[in-house]
Amino acid sequence: MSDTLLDIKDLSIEYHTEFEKVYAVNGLSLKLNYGETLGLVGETGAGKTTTALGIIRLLPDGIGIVTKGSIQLDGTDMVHESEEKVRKLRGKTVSMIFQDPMTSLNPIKTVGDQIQEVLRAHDRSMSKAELSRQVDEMMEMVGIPSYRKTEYPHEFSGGMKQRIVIAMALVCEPKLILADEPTTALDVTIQAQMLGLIRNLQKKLNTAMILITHDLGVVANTCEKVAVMYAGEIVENGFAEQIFCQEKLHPYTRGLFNAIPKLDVETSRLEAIEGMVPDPTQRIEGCRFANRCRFATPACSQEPPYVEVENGHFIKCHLFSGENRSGKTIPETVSGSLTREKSVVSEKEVS
Amino acid sequence: MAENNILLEAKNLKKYFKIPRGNVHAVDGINFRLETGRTLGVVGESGCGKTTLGRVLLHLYNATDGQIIYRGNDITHYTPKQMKSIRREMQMIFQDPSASLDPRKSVQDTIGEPLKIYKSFSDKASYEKRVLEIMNMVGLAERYVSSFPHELDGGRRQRIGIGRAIATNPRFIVCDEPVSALDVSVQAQVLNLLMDLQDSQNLTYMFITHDLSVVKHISHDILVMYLGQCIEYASKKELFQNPLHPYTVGLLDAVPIPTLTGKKLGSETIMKGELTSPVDPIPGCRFAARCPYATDACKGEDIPLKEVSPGHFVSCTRY
Amino acid sequence: MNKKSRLFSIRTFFRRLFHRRIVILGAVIVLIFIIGAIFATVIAPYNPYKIDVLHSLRGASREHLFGTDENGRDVFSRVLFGARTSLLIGLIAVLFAAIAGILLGLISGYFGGWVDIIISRIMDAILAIPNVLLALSLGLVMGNSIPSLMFILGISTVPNYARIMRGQVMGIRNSDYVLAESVMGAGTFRILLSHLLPNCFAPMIVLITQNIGNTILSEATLSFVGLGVNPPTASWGGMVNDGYIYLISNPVYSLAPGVCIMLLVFGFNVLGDGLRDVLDPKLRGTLK
Repeated sequence: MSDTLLDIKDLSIEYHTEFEKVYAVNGLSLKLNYGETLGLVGETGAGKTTTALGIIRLLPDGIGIVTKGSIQLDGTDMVHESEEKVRKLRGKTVSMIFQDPMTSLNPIKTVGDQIQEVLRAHDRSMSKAELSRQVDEMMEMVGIPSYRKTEYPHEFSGGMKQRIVIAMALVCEPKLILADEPTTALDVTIQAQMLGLIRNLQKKLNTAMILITHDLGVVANTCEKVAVMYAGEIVENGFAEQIFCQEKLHPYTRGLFNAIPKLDVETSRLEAIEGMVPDPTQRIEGCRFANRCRFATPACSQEPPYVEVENGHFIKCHLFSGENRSGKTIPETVSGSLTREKSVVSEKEVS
Repeated sequence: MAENNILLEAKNLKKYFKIPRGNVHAVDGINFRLETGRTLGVVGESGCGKTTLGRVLLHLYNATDGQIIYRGNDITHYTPKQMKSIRREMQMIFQDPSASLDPRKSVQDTIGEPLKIYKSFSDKASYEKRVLEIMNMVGLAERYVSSFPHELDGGRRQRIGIGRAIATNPRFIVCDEPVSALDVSVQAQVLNLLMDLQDSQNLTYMFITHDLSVVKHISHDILVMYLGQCIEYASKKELFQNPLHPYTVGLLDAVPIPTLTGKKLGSETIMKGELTSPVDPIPGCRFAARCPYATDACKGEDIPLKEVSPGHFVSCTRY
Repeated sequence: MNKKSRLFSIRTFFRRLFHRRIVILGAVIVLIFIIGAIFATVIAPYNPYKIDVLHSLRGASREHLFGTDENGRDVFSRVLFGARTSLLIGLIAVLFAAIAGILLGLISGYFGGWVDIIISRIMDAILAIPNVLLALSLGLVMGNSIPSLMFILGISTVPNYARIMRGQVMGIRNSDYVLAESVMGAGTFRILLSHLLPNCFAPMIVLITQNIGNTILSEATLSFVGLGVNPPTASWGGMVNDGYIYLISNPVYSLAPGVCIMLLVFGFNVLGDGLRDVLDPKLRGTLK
């Protein structure tokens, strides 16, 4: 058996509403090995959540449609397999943690019952004592005293609720967790606790994880691999060391790094990525980032190649193709050039 | 510190909300002085009272106790009618641009709303000209003048909100998490815009946020709030170089930094627990329950703010 | 640009409204009745009040499409004029109820406190009285003229509007954009009329449409039991009442107005459902 857990090839997902088509994911390919953690980074509307919903096959019925490509998860074809089979995989092989814990908790059931339900859904033969023992164990593992299992969700604080959601997601020891912005709704101190918890549990259970986030800091703290999404595509994919050393980067990833105010460095002015994410209802030829990219050339109207700039580090950009492979010609940053006039005028120029 | 340069001052400001179980001490004895043209960053976790503080300053809630002094006048007990004379000088930018814009009003109507309220223009042409001027200032292309908020993205919506706030040439703006709902690339655009406007319009900001990196970027002075109280107050440089209160230290430690060389979160240094209840808190340090250094001295009575070095105030028994 | 975008949104509105075929059907039915009522004098082949005892109780024929009644009046003409009565009463009663209810709801939702308590209790009191009882007692006091009928039918539905409006207003009263108005220093009047009212209006339009159907039905019911429109004014409810004794011998006499009631109420209800689907804020968000 190979060590590839998840293999997504050329995946495209569209949302068909009554009046328009939204191209949410466009030809996305991704591989993940057992036990690996991947940070899926991108802004709102980049298609991160859609990708995750596609993997676990929870796209809204009849609206979210996989139009192309394949998803192989632990040897199962998640695009074409029967609904019944996929249902059995959810929780056992793959499970998902959502941003808002309240959407995953039933307000009128005790938290203990809810964790237990997940267990029972996958193993009906389990005895009462065994169920109870496992629930207790899981609750202690996420840092909640097990005597609280008879309480209802509203009796817990936001951070505690998210712990319970994590317990529910992990209780069947899935091979893959999809964590969709699990800490975005939480305060920083609680987020720090939660990231520590997720990392420890992930190591302990050797679960693979895709952590969806817009926060590069969160990725740096939890993930071995990073994939950057923009407008439905992965524009950059590599090991965390390769991305965070910031030597060779896709212009968009570089823009993301420059746009965050830093706690450790003094910055007088942020380098914003001017312009907006392209309209997802339009198909775009060539590089989707070109209209916001400082380094855009006429070549960018062609589909950019996926270039392996170093071992395991892929960048989808013309800048790195051909003799430019080393990426040396790219200026580091164009700092300090953004004047006030520029930030005002740019709005008119772009799009 | 020139006295006459002080735009806004809060003295022992308090706001309690009555609920059946008792009083929520949302703001509990806040003091600060804000000079013209500067930015006061207010940092704290959700539920610490930072939003309430901003709203009390703008007279959206009446203060329970204490004083608000605006340009030398005590406005704490101003009637709505008296307030109206200074409303146009004190504005607010909201967190969620989609919630703070009337969905049925076009860009022109929203930005022009304060102009209409103050009947700034009698003829339509100069009114429309002023709206376009404001749109220009906040970087909105003129072609959006009759668009509706739902047709625009988050960044542009927030620009509308900013435009509305600066339309009456205010002196003081409360920015209540203005970039929290935005993506990082757009967040940077909006932060730059706010800083540009501050320079060109000589604006004074109170910048409320939970994001320490953002507050560090934009503020001159920083006030750290915990359960309604100010626990540390210092200039930005001082606070980030020499944080004193254990809560501030914990908060700084908890921020995930986008480098691999930094410390990993979730290690033992991380602050334990969550906020305690703000309903009739028992006297004493509110942070004591989560504080690794808590001693008996922290209980019993509230810890006053102490000036440990010039301009650096902290409320902790260790200093 | 302004006009274009407005026009576009009106077009998309109708496209969405008529997305379901049955809504088109409802709209067509309502439209036919409205046209029939407006042009009743032109379309009607006979004077609806002209008594012709010699030709009483005729069945449907070429001369009399729906036959004649016991006084020899042309039923088809009377049905047309009945549409006038029904629509007029329905529209005015509903309009009266809607304006009163929306204003009351706006005030009680925005101000809250004792204003809200007083208005809400009055609304509860009106709801507690059965409609027929209300009509009976008010009819005794005011006499059963058409204006008093409009008032009676209207007043009993005021609480529906007031309650829904109140809920709507309370939902957005604390929203940021209303708060923003206070920050700008806008007066209460401006907030109420320029922001709260337009933003709460969509569900009101739905309610109004659906209520027209119900009110027409109530009018027919009251007229049927003799509490509504006085003869000889043509009214569907009254006609069904007059005609049902001849149901065996001359079925078309009572069936024609009965079917009309059914069709018109159906039309308004379907139209109301269609409007709700389009204007419901929850759906509006997802379809954009």
